[in-house]
Amino acid sequence: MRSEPRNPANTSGLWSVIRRGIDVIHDLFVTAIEQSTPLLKVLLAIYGATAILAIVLPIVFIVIGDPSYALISLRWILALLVVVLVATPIIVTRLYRGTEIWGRLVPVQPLPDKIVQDLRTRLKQVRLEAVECIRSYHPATRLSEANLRAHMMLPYYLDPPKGVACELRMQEELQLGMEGYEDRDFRFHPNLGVSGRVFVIGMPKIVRVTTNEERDADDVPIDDYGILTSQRSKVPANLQWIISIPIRRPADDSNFSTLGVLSIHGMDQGFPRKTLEAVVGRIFPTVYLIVSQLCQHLVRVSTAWEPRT
Amino acid sequence: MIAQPMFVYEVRLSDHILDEISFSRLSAADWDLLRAANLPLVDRIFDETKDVETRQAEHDDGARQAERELAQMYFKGDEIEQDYGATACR
Repeated sequence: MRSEPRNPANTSGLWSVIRRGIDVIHDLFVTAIEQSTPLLKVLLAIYGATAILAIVLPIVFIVIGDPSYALISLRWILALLVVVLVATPIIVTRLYRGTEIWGRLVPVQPLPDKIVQDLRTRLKQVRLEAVECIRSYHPATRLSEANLRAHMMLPYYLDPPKGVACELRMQEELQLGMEGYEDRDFRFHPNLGVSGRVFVIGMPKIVRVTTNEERDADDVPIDDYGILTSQRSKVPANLQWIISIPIRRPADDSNFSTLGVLSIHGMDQGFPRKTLEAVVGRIFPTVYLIVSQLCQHLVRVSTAWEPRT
Repeated sequence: MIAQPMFVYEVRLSDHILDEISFSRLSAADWDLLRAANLPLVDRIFDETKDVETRQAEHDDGARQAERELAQMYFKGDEIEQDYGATACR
């Protein structure tokens, strides 16, 4: 049951404002009751009756002036009125939040120190596996862990920038080999930057530094990913490639949902696509271990509600 | 600042990627962690990976099949992209 919208043009002045306020409270309560459990409906009915008494009884006192009429003292009725005035907005906002249209499980903020240290250990493991994999394809390479950077970007929901639900950030403990680089404090909105895009679509991506002539047909210029000019200027000159992999949790029987993004940066030396793709497969079991650890520290957040109609 | 162009492409699972995936390198502690988390296909991969030596010799065994299924499920991507933008404004 939803009340029909009222035409504000039918009223004017102070009464219009009061009437509008009453309409809003009425509509909110009607919708709140519609969405409540039977027990809550009973409690709401009791609360409603109390609220009416709290408003009516003082009027009775004022008009009749006979405290015995209401069986209780004026002081108690005024206290009841205060309780009702305070409780009304709380009940309305708690019970009626509209229909959730966006919500998901995310890593808690901040992650416990123990899990952060565990994740850092896994990140080191990933970096080592990447080196071993590349060496297996290119035995002559001098690549070592010192040539690779790695980091994990996780969504931060507590104070997101306006216009987005969250922001991808990398805390210092979840960075390897990034000391002294200007891009260590990068943050990305979902869908912006390679990490932001991987976060949204849940598919791994590889970045390669190459010439226009050597690019492949499906290569997309990184500038199309919404990288800011200020960020582009901070990318280290010796960066050669990036592998970004989504960290995903099971969502249902056959689907996963993204929790964050893990990236490995290759410095100084470039490698063919096939080699870099092989790294994706080689590190996957360790990424799945990271999933198993993050899954123990999830919390549900809801940041978008469909407006009341 | 990097001077050369940078290009991005989306990785699609191919045999050479799938061939690199092997849970047989995990330690006993890693397995405990994975199994405790009750993640999809972990038990099946674990059961098929009991004899690691045999498994590595037999390239196309049950464990490898389960690993491939897991990777294909994991890297399937989101069919409908999550909306983190306008409707999620505060």
